[in-house]
Amino acid sequence: MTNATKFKLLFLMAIAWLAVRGGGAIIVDPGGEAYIDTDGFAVLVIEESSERHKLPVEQKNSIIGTAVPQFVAINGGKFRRVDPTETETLDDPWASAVDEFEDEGLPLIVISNTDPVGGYVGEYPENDAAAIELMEQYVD
Amino acid sequence: MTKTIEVPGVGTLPVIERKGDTDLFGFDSEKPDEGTAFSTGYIPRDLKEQPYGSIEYATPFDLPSPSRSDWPELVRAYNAGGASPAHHFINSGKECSNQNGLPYCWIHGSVQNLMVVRMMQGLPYVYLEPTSAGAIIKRFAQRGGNTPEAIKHLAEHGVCEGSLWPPNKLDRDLVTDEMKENSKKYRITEWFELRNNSFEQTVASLLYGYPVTVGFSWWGHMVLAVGLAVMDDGSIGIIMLNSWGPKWGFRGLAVLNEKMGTSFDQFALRVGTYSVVA
Repeated sequence: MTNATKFKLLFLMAIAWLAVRGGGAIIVDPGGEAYIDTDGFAVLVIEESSERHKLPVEQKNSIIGTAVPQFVAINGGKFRRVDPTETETLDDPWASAVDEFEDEGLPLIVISNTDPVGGYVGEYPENDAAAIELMEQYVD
Repeated sequence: MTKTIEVPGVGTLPVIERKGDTDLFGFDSEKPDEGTAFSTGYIPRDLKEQPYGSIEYATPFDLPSPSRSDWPELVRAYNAGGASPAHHFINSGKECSNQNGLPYCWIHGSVQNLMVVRMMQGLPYVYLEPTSAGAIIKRFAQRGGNTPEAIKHLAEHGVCEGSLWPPNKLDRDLVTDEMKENSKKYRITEWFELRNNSFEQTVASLLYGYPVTVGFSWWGHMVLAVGLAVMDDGSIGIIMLNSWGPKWGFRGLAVLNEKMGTSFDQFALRVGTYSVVA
């Protein structure tokens, strides 16, 4: 292996490490965008509220509970929990995010931050601890 | 001395085990400035005229009810996780409503349901004045009612912000175009109707995160069921939010055992409109 190849390999490994660990930046998985068109930290939970009985108890309790909205509030963010079929009067930034992601499979958590820029879209975590661990990666 | 129970994350709540719990039912009868005792107003519906499943805008509750043997474990996990509507209400730091002498418990129980669901949806707090809907439904008369009347009005017309309607005011001049437009932002779109006298469905609904407007024939009163408690004997009680102001019970909250908490008319709210802008 030439020195140039070694250098390229080390460079790619460093990029990968930064993407995963953050390196002062935000983990981007997937996409790395601020998915909700609103300033600062924002968290959107999209769920079908008539189907909570199908969810594991801890995940259901986390979705309806106070821990996640409290974490968002403590970190100066905004929080919404919505049904995708009931967005008639939902303000635009949140409604647009619901439109974009509702087909990804519910329940879904959308995390967004514009400072520093980062975001996450994925299945709602299994419990409060996992949800908070995930959100912590997107706040200062 | 009223018995109390500690509900994690909510507080120390008084327990109603029988109607003679005078510490709670004699509330403020000697202190009219703090509200009027026994202002209730619930009229149980006639099931021959309005059978189960016939209420417009409310669908029959058809979700599975957890086994009774699992209730204590489920309720402990639910309270430990701060998952009940009562936890959202307490965390909000807001006060319950006060019908203060009007026989409008039925609309207070329904509108408080919307306010609590809005808290759970993460919407900014807006105080909604129940009388703005109740007065129109009852043509400005002091008459009792029931949730089905409230449901139809709240679905079609909504309820306005407190800034546009003073508390408990029965005044036709308050019905303005601005008030009507404002009310449309605060409508209730998805109700469940629970089986009459089914405590199992009340418990299930609360475990799934749907507050329940409940009507008690023994009390002639409608209130809002917002949570669950494991009683000293291991049975399950419901946490109710009254509409007699924050000095009653613990910030308006008390616990009813199964006997007292089994509700004849009961309607759960799943989704309210998401309006934010006043």
